[in-house]
Order: sequence, then structure tokens, then C-alpha cells
Amino acid sequence: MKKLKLTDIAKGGDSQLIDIDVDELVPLPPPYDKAEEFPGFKQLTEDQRERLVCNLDGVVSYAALPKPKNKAEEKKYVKQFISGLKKLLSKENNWTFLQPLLLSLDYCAQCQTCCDACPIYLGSGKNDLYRPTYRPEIFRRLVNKYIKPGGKLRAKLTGADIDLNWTTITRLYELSYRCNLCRRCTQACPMGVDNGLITRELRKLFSQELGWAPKELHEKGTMLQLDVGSATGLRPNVAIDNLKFLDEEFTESTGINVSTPWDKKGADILLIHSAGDIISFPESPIAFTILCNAAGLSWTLSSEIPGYDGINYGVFYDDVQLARVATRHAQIAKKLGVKKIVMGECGHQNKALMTVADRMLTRELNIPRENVMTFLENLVFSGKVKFDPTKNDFPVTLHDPCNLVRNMGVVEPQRRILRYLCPEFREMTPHGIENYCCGGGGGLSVMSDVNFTDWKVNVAGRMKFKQVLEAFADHPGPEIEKYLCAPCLNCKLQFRDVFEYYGAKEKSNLIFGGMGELIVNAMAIMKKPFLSWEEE
Amino acid sequence: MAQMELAGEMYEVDENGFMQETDRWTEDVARAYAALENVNELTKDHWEAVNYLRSYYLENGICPMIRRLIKVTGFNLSRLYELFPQGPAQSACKWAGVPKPTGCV
Amino acid sequence: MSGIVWHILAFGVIGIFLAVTVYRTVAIARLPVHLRWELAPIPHEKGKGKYGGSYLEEYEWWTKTRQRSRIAPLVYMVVEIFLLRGIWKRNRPLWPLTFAFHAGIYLVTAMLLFSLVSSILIITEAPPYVINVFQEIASVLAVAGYLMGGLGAIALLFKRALDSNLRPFNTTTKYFNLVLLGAVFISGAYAWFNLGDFAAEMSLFIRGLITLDTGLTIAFSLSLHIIISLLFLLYLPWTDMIHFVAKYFTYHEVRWNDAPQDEKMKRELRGLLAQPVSWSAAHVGADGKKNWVDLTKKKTKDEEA
Repeated sequence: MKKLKLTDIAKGGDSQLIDIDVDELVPLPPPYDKAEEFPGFKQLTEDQRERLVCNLDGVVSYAALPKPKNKAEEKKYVKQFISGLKKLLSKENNWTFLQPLLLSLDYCAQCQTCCDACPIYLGSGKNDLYRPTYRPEIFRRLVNKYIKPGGKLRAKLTGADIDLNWTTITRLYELSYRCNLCRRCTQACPMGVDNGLITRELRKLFSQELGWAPKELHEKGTMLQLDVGSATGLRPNVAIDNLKFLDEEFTESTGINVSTPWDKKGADILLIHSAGDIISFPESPIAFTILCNAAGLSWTLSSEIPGYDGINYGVFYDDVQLARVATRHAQIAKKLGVKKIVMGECGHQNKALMTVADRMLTRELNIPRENVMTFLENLVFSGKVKFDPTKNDFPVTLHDPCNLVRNMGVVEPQRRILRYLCPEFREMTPHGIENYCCGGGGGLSVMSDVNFTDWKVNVAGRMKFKQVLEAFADHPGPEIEKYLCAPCLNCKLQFRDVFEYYGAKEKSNLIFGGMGELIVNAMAIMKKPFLSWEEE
Repeated sequence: MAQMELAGEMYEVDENGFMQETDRWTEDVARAYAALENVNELTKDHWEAVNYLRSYYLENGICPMIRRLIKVTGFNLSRLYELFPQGPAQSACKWAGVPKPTGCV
Repeated sequence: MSGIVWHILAFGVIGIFLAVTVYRTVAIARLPVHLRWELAPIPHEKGKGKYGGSYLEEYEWWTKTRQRSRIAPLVYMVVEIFLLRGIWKRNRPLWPLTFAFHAGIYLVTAMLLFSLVSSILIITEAPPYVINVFQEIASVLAVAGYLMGGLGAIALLFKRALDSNLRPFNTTTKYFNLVLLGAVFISGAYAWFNLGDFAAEMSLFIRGLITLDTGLTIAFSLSLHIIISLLFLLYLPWTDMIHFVAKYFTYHEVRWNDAPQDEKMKRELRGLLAQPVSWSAAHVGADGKKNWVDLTKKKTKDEEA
């Protein structure tokens, strides 16, 4: 494998920095061990190479990255980058993360301890480009050289000299989306340096200063969400219409009266799902409807923009968008007069509204917010709903969404539920706060431009997939139905891509889904299973 | 923006080949997309799904949920995969000339 | 060298060291409150810290009093600082090297404290056997510290130069820091073996400093060590080696800062949100005058129409 120097980032113009060789990736257990049986990476076409900026690793996550026509235009972008760096270090423009950023810039001891904590670096077979230290150290040296007084001279003297040019900034842009922001590296750092945060700050600089951000996160993400109500494009009336349709469908299939309440003023609880769950994994919102009604809770959904889509991609790349989405969510809850907000099964959504945006929601907007796992735990153990755990007599393992677990410390509620309702529950190794990211964290799971999905299923999601298979090593084949409980929409989207790519359903009879579905499946009142291994 | 020739005309598409100018769609475009996935004849069933997807999208600004598609057309998921080799989202939506579904779907 | 020169050198360097260290510490401490960015495990969470849980696990947590342990974070930091728990857990091959190096620093620091006490005992004319005890301990601390620190520094230098994982990230500064600190330890070890009674000489030197004795003289080997040490102390606070300060903040103020808003924070936040924003991307809508609150209120397309 090619050894990379930090200075290589600035060299070679538009040529690709590295090639990814699927044979060098960490091996998967059989029957997934033969790389040649899978499609591998879609190579870029000649036309794409001509049109797109593709100077990193042969993978492109953002086709709309501008390609400058001349040197003057290149210089303009470089200048913008430097002005963004300055704003990133200023109190007015970046009070939100200034202290953690400065601490992470100034005190890295270069011990490389964090590398072995990074699932992307490990999954890649230890490719230098994906070291959790590679991107931050380049960033540090650019700050030291271009922002600090005497930096250029010092860079020359100390051998830390990296050129800032068009190649550097475009590669840094693309490289900032080769990280899941899972912060496993941060957890491993004895100094408390946060290389995950530096990646996010880099994304922020590109978004807030140059307007560069993945289409799926920005233009068709937060912008669309603030505009029509949801990053899926789901409008309020269509959202209501869809759930009405689902209510009827499930009333028919379960024999229970399924009825989802909308816009009930004065309800105790505002539940905010991700719109993606309504569209792609409707069993999840329906499971919540069944459970909340069975427990006799006073609850409601909201059809006000964007109150039916709890995602907040701002947490992945942009503080202004983060504030806008979080504020809207809180305003809607205030208008309804609810006592608390509960977010659906989505890690970043819980983290964004509960902790990250907490200090942006001042005064009356600081409405109590509860995480989804604690909410479900209370419901399961409330005694209001009867369960028959033997209904869940299949092997189950639990995926820990990074945002909910490592980043919020919500660890045990979901386990208490599974230990009660799933007799064949087993942990993965490692798990809890030391889990591996699914590979879709940091917004990657919704990004699919050009050939980016190939990278997610082959590199980013590799360690997780390996770990899931190992958790079921006692029943590797398709004879036994197995369930991966992934209580997070973004994780489920990543697993969908990974399972489809490797054929996990056919080869291992492995399906994935949320926590709500598993709980409903164990409800004594259910006449037939809520979960199904058969496709309709 | 990428360009693609379909049925003798040039169209703006995204990097995955989805049409960006939904209103320029014609039935010939659908046939041309299908041919690229080695489906050389569009049957009544194909048209039923494609036309439903398209009209739902034009009315609601979003593709219908798979469940709805199944309910309305009466085709189950495996039938949909028979009709559209890469499935309802990757093939059927593309052939119907609507943008690729994004945002947590 | 005459005593006066030693006084100027020593007190000057110590003064600069303290001033710069305090300045940098205050600069970090005065940075504005940031958005929450906590990271498990948080040891102050009573009963939950062990597995990494937080108060957010509690049903309707805002109705309950937070159970915070004062001792657990302290124990966590003591183990981290003195035994380098993080490196032990995640980077075992590096541990013996860096442990020796850091143990060297702690032992030498302890030796200086014992020497300081023994010099005060000399000044106050305490019984000789008491002074003796302190000097004996200082002597052992000194030789152990210098040897461990010296070996650690040399080992880390080799590790940096030879390990292909570390090499791409090295700068001249990293090497220089190790060489300088290595020189402190090695010159110390040289003085210890060169002098008959290192600890006694050290106490006498410190006594000379404290009493401003102009007749203060010391042996060559010890003065070499002291000059190198003072140079290091002068250089230290300007570098990333003051991570012993930064570490307090990365842990307590970032990783473990899971505090909900209180009155003081609310006041500070109001000021921060009222600051003008000047990011240039179109979607931000900043003009250098609008503040965070204005921008958050920015209307969606529908509302504008």
C-alpha cells in the first residue's frame, strides 16, 4: 500500500492521490470473503474524470464541486478558504465550538494512538489517507502556517510546510467526507484532542464560507427541510396522507386499531419521527403508534414544517443550519403546548435536539426533551402493555448508534428492553460506548452521489458488517432467522446498502430494523408476528 | 451537470443518470432507460408502475412509498424487481423521469 | 558565576514560566461557553460512569436531581496523569517508553519539592537527622527520575525516528522538545553521579536562592544541569508541552461538560447569540450586522413570499 506524506495532499494537481484496492481491505468472514464475488468500485468514466473534481481516492461524493476555469479562479477559492479559517478561529463567528477547536488544534502529541480506534482506517486495511490523524494534522499545519504570526517562516524551519492551493482544498473537502464523526478517535485520545471535531469544523468552513456541502445534506437536506418540511421532499399534507394510509394498512394486517394522532394541542408528548422512517421503514412509526396508544399516552405528531421530520443534518456540517432546524422544532413544540419532546429512533436527531443545540434553545424554547430509548424503556416496564418474550425467540444483536450511545451516554435503557424481551439477545464485540459506527455516520448514510455508495459499503461499513456477522457466528447460515436491532434511521439506511451489496438476507437470513418493531413483535395482543423475514 | 442521450435527444441528468428536467420526459425516454438495463420491451405492467410513479410525483413532489406502489399496482416486491432490474427506487423512478429519491429514504 | 547571576536567572525564568503558563491557562478558561459536545464515559455520573451512561438515561431527567460524584473524576484523572491509563489501554507498545519519560518528570518534580523542604529545614536550623531524611529521599527520587526520564526520552526519540506510524507526522519541533528534555535528565544524572552528595548540593543551592546569598557557588556539573533545566523551563510554556494545563480543559470543559443551562450560562449565551456573523456563503445570509438570533429567524422561502 502506498505510504503517504502529509505534504502529498498539496501535490500532483488534479491527479488522484491514492487508489483503493479491494484486496487490501480488512477481510470479511465467509461467505463474504471473496472480493471478486461483489461488484467492487464503480470506476469513474472518462467523461466524469473530465467534468468532476476527482483528485482524492477515485471516489466522488459531491459532483457539483466547482472546477475552476483558470488560475485566478483557483486563487479566489484559496483566498476564501483562508478567510474561512480566520472566521473559524473567531469568537463572533464560531463561539459555538471555539474552545474545543483550539484545544484540539494546539495539543495533539502525534502519538497515533487514535488510529487503531478508527473503523474506517481499520476497515481500509490501514490506508494512510484514512488515518484519523491525517486530515486534522494537515488542517493544523495550515492554521499554524497561514493564520498564526510568523507562521510561514516557522513552517519552513520546522519542516511542517504544507502548501495551500486548489489541490489541497479540494482534497481536504472530499476527505472531510471520509469520516463518520463517530468520535471513537476522540475517546481513544489520552490528551482529549478531538479529531472528529476538526473534521466537522473543516466541513463547516467549506459550507459556511464557500457554500460547498454535499447535495444530500444541504440543498436537498436542511434547505429542503426548512423549505417544504422534510429532506425527503415530503410535504405536510402528504405526510398526513401517508400515515393515514399506513394506519389503515396496519389496522388491516394486525387486527388492532392503529390510529396516529396529528396536531393535538395540549398533548403531553410531541413525538418527532424522521420522515425517512415514514417513507422507507414505515413499521417504525407504526410501532410507536401502536405502543403509545396501548400505553394510553397523551401524544401527538406535528404536521407543521418541519415538525414531522426530526432530522437535523446541521449537526454534520453547519452550525447555522443546525440552529435553524433545532429552533423550528422547539417552536412547534411550544405552540402545541406539550410537556416534552421525544425524538424518534434516530441517533443524530436525538443528539442534535437534546444536547448539541441545547445552548441555542434559550428561554421558553428550552422545552424538556427525552431520548427515545428511555421513553421506550419506561413504556415497556410501565406495566400497561403485556408482553410475551417467547415471541422474540430468534437471535438478536444490538447496534449502538454513536450519537445516542458514545455521544449521549444512553447505554442501558435499550439493553434492559432487549434482555427482557429477547431471550436470544447477544452483544457484539466491542459494544456500548466503544461500539463501531455503522459506516453511515456523519451524514454519509444519505449521501449517494456518483460512486460514493461503493465506498460506504466497502470501506466505511466494513468493520461493522464484520462485527455483526461475528455476533451471529453460531448461526452463520440462512437456516435461522436473525435480527440486527439498529435503533437509528441513518444506521438502518447504511445497513440497507451494506446488506443489499453483500446479499446478507439471502446468505445469512439476516434482517435489520428498529427497537419499536421488536417491542411490538413481543406484545401479547399481537395475533401474528409484526416482524417478517419474507419480503412482501 | 452531466448530459445523457436518450431516444435521440440530450437531457440533463445527475451522476446516477436520473433526469433533472422532469417535464421533458416522454415515453420514448422510459423505453431508452429500460433498454440500458436490458429491458427491451415495456409491458402493460411496466407502464402501470411507471405512470403511477410519475403522476404521484407530479402531484406530491415526492415518489410514493413502496407500500403504496405495491397496493396500487398489486405487484409485490419481487414482481417489481422482475419488472425493474434495480428495483423501484433505482430503476422505476429513473424510467419515470423523476429525480432520484434522497434525504433519508 | 556569582550568586547574583544565579538569582536573576532562576527567579527570572521561574517568573516568566509562571506568567506565561497563567496567561495561557486564563486564555483557555476565558473562551466562550461552547455548544455541548460531551463524550462518554463521563466519570462524574454516579452509578453510570462505569459503563459510560449519563443522566439522560433517566426517565424525565429534568425532574430529578443530578447525582454527581466528586471523587470519581478525580480518581480518573489521577490514574490518567500518573499511570497514563489511556496509553496503557489503547497503545500498549508505547506505554513503557512514555511512562518512563513521564515518571521521570514527576520524580524530578518531587525531588525538587523535597529539596525545597530540606533547604527550608536548613534555614530554620532543624535537627540534622531530619534534614538528612529529606535529602536521602530527594537523592533517591533524583537518580530514579533522571535515569527513567533520560531513558524514556532516548527511547521516544528512537521511536519517533524509526516507527513508520509516527515518522510522517514528525516535525523538527517534536525532536527538539525530546532532545531538550532528554538533556535535562541526562545532565541531571551526570551531576548525580559526579557529585558526592547531589541532594545536599541541591538543597544548598536552593537555600542560596531563597536567602539571596551572594556568595552562592555550585559545582560545574550541577550548574550545567541547572542552566539546561532553566532553559527548558523558559521554553516550556510556549509549546504544546503545557498539555498538562490543556488536559484539564479537554476533559472537564469539553468531554465531561454535560451541564444544562444555568442562570450564569444563560446570561453568557444571550451575549454570544447577539454577536454579528460574517460567514460568506449565501445560505447563511450574514452581512456582518445580523447576529445569530437574526440568522436563525431567517425566514424560509414560503414565509418570505
